[in-house]
Amino acid sequence: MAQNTNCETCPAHNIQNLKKLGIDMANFNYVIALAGNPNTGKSTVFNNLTGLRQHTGNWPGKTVSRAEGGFAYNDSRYKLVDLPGTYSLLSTSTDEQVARDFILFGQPDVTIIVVDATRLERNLNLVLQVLEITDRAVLCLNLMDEVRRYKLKIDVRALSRDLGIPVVPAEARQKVGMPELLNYVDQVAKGVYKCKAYRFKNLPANVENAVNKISAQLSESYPNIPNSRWVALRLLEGDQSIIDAVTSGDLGKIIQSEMGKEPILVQE
Amino acid sequence: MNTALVNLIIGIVIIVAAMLVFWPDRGLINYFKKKKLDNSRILLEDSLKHIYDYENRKVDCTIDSIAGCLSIGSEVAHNIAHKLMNLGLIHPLKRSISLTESGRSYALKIIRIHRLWEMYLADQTGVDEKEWHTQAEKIEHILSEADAEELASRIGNPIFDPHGDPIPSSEGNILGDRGKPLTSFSEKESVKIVHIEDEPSAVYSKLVDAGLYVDQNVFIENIANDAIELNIGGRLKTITLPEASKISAEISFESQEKITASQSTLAEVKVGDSVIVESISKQIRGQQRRRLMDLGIVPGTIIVPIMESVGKDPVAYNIRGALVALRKLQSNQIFIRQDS
Amino acid sequence: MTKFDKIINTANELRWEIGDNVHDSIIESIYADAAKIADKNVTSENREQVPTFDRFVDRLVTSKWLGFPIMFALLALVFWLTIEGANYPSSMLASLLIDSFHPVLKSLAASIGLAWWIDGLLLDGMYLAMAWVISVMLPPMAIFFPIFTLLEDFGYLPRVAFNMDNLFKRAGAHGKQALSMSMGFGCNAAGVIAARIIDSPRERIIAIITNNFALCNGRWPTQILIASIFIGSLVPAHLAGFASAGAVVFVAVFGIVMSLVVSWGLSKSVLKGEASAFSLELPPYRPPRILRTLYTSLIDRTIFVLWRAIVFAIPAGMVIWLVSNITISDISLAEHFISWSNPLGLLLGLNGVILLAYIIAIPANEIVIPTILMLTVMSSEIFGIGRGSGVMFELDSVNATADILIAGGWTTLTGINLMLFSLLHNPCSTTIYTIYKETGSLKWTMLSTFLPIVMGIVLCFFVAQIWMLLA
Repeated sequence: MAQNTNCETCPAHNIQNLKKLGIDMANFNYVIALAGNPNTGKSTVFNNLTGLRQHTGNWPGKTVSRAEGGFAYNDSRYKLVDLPGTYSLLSTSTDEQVARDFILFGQPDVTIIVVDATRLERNLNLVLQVLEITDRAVLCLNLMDEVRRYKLKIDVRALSRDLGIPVVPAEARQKVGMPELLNYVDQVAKGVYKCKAYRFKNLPANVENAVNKISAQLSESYPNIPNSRWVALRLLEGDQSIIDAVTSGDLGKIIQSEMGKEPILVQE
Repeated sequence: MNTALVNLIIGIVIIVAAMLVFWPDRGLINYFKKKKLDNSRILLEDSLKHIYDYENRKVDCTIDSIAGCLSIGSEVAHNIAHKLMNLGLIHPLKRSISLTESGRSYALKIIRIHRLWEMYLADQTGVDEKEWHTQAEKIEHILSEADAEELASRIGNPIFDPHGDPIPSSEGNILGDRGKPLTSFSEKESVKIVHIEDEPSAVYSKLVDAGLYVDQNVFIENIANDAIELNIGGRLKTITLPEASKISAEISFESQEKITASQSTLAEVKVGDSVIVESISKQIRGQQRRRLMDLGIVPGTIIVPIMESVGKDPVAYNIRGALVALRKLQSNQIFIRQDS
Repeated sequence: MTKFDKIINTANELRWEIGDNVHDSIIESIYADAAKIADKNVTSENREQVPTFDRFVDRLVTSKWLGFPIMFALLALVFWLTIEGANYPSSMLASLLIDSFHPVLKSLAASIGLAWWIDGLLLDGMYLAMAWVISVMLPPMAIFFPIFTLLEDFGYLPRVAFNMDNLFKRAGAHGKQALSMSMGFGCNAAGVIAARIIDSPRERIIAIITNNFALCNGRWPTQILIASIFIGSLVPAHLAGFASAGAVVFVAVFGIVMSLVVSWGLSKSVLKGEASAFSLELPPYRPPRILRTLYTSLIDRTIFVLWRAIVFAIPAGMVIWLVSNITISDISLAEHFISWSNPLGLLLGLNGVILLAYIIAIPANEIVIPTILMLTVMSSEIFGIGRGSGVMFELDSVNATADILIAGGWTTLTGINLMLFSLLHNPCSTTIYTIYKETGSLKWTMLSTFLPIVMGIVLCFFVAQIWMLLA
């Protein structure tokens, strides 16, 4: 991990560089997506970073529409997109489709995945799916205060090693961990921190073979495609938006912009 | 006093009349709606399906078989055959009737819409299993091709319908039938059901009531002259040979012990006992199935019932660290084994 | 065929080959990975896993004997706090906005010589409607919503849904409907929005359509006033309070029963085919953050709903003033309508005034009583009370109100049927608009609008006719 003891990059120093911009999202340099299970404190993280006050509740599925906000940090302007809280990205429900399409087609520069640390195993389902789509992610291990109450211990460094992305313990309600989160988001966005995301390892043989076959063809037609295995999996599940993107060649455009590092936004 | 009585009677009469007109499915409005449907097109399309079905099963199709299948007079059936021929959908009439290329693709289009709709009903709605076929029979003549494609993409372009029949692709490709009739297997064989024919509906309802479904593993205990005895999770079910011929199956990879071992469900587990999920019954499908799996209920998951609600149902379970309440309707479709 | 189509073809062929179990096996394998990673990196010192406090509270609130009593006690407490707590601020707001500020505005208008009809339209119509809605609606909502949100944030409400699910399951509905319904006791528009927490579409539509049967804050004052005038007077004076309170509770409970019955009917008829999937996650208890909750529930729910109500009430105030002041052959439109619709009203055990009041006061149930009083005084030509045509008013004394209504020809039957009709009639226009926004469907909006009013008309008709038959 790129831990620097230098004062300049020390998170404690840099939190003063956070400027909450609320709904002012003009001229942003980077797009950040915020994903997570329902009821993990995702909206609290959103509010902490943007200074907005989206209502949250102790309920799954509270964030129904997509919320957006802005913040500036270390001379860069960020646009933060709060995706609907979902358990998975593989189903046909509207919420999941919005979240999945934004991470794939919206090309966020960084995806922050907020998880309930006391229910890590359940939450990892979504985390692993996100990592299959994008490398550039930061895991926000929220509700660490609850972890202490539940008398659990989480090896944060080993978890980060296993997942191949930065992992930040946080207590969003007390605003604990936000400086570190910002710091990592900034590093990942600027390519200072190189992620090496975990990819599915246990697919059954027949699915694995099919995925390999399709992703080989995909890589041939779309050189530089970063997530051909995910696209292949979606094709096997008959996902229409992916089928359309592949047949129309739009998948290529996305990869292009990915290479050019020019953030684009999807229209809904 | 008398005015009140008269008013009451008038009021009741008005309400009864309104109910007669507006009652869903049975009211007058519905009756006229049904009447308006174009009958001749339905007959044409149904005969195409019938001819396709016979060709597929390598049985000779005749005007009489059309008349029999659609329950119409042979005069009408004759007219229909001529119309189909004039439209270029079937070859010139000989002893047996056969489809032309365009006739086949027309038939496949109807079948595609039919099976897509059944899949949609099974996956996304709470419509009773026994009603899928009847509803699809109606919708196949109404839904446009564009709407059917829209529907297909919305439900994830399925490739099999809930009865295990392959759904023709939009280009008109179709997978050959899988498996062979249950009657062609021998005693003491383990088989997996791959298809249950949904016609005639009386037979289908009986098979559904017997708890049989596609993708289920069964063990053939006994074959008598007129009936087959099946062992499903320790329970014995007897079905007649004609009924069994409506079921297609293939050799199962599961062992006899596993298929015939009596299976307990999550609903039977006492609060505090830890159990491991074996499988989710295939009868839970579509959205419901995906929801359960997203919550972490997959084979191998350890589940502990934590508490019952005041009315005993639903029950809250600890599933991968989260407390999730499930109704009995779902927990008795989740098969488990004891956690040693 | 392009190389892209080829990829799709390969994928489709492979799909036939693998069969339809792809989804199952993918999720299974992801969870296998997840379990491995979690096992490796998370260690637990506590074998019980769930802290004792959470277990204790859960045992208590789901216990067979105490579960429901605790729930009813809490709900009763919330309502009591809302109704009692709102009394004082409501009358303060009313005296400020209506008794003090309105005359000031009137004299100001007079001093700059505003034409009488502009003055009437703006101040007597629009301003008064707005003032009424604010003073009747704001205090109870400002109390009800934060308390409700606190219970929600603490994690108690999901347990209520857990306990109530059995009952709602029988009606073909979702346990969480208990919560959208409770929210509806505060405001139906908020209740309709709250139905978002129900994630399966069928049950969500049921919850939205039946929310109107929860007696909202705007209707409680009507119920209490009418019950104390007409029900309280039926029994000896020392029992009056008890009888009228009982009548109001009866109407509210009748509303709950109706919402269950209608849920059942819907799930057996028009909503038979929609999908249903049940799962309910019970989140861990978390200490609620009181200030934060006050702030967000005030902004998100109270102000939001209030704003919508004001937007709809202002034009209604205008209409109320106009129909009372535009005259055809010296008789106002309102009186024309009242004398025309009176026979129909009487058939339903109501009267023309009530019918007109419910039509022009669609935007907010809060202004029904002031409108009824104004129209009664106007159409019965009672002099010396009220403030003139099209100027809504209310009286401080229940007895004085009773005198007006009885002079207007009201009987016990009128009182009873008004209470029933106030429960069973179309939702207010704020709610109708919210239903449309939430469902995006004209069909469901129309059904939620017309179903309750048809039910109300039928019920009132039968009650009235049987009453007359027996009387």
